[in-house]
Amino acid sequence: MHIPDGFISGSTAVVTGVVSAGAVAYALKEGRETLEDRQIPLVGVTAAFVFAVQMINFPVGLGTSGHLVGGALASVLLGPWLAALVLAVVLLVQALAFADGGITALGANVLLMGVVAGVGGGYAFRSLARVLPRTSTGFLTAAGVTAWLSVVVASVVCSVLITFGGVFGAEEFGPVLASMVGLHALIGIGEAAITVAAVSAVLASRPDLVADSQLLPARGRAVTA
Amino acid sequence: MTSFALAGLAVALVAGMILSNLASDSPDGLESAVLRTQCADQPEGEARDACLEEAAGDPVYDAAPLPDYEITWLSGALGVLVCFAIAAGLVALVRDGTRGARGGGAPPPSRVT
Repeated sequence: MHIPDGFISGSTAVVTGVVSAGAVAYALKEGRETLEDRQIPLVGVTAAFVFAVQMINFPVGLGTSGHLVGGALASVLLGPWLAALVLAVVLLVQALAFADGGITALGANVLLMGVVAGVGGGYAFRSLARVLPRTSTGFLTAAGVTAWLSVVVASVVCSVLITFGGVFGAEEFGPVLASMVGLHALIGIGEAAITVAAVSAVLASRPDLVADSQLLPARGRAVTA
Repeated sequence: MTSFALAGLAVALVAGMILSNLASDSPDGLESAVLRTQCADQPEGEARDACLEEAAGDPVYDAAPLPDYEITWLSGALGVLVCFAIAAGLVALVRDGTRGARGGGAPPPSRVT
């Protein structure tokens, strides 16, 4: 879903850049106030893992591939705002070192993958996990559903940006939206599978590091280090 | 560094350096959507791909050392380590700031158990 420079207008680039910069600033404040020192390695590992797995495009049929976005994964592990920070780091490195995603579209890409999928995904996950049974299965179900939703909703926002706020024009919105949502409904299945697998692995090894561990059964809850 | 961090980094390195070689090179969701809508009137193949490239435009910044992840294993290794360092470094930095402010100049306690 990495937007290249040419897809969005200058004003869209500026507005999304300002919104994303604000989100990253707020994320740093959250990190300062809520993160525990023992969670710092998990922040680094999540960024490293999201970067690596974003390299692995999987085919979804229709001559199309997709890869993990990771916003929902990061938000389940670290909470909504630190997910935005992690995705911003990954997207910055991708743009600067690998020319993946335009540098002028960095704000738009952080908005889609960090704010919509990450922050939005984080709050959706919490709401969902609260109404589901407080078991590992409930927790993982919430993570999987959130992962699928995060990609589909991000694809809706992306469609708005590249049509109303981009080169394809408002009259293309309907067809672009239909294609984007259809393809990302498929890609979201992969997103959900990878997210559930990665969250399971962390729950099996260090459940105490997970941000929302109060949503887990008692034996998985955070213990003071 | 904790054993969790080392294990996590190892998994990320395997994914980024080795599994990434299996990546599909079909267009991603966004590219595919543009090919199916904006570029649908172009004949399939080179003309349609050119339409996508034209829409994407020339990159504004063109000094990326490994554009499109050329040299896959190196891109994977570099990206994983740099992302880990920046993300963990940033949060460690802001956490240190709090300690300085609240600790009244006391030396920071050792960070990671």
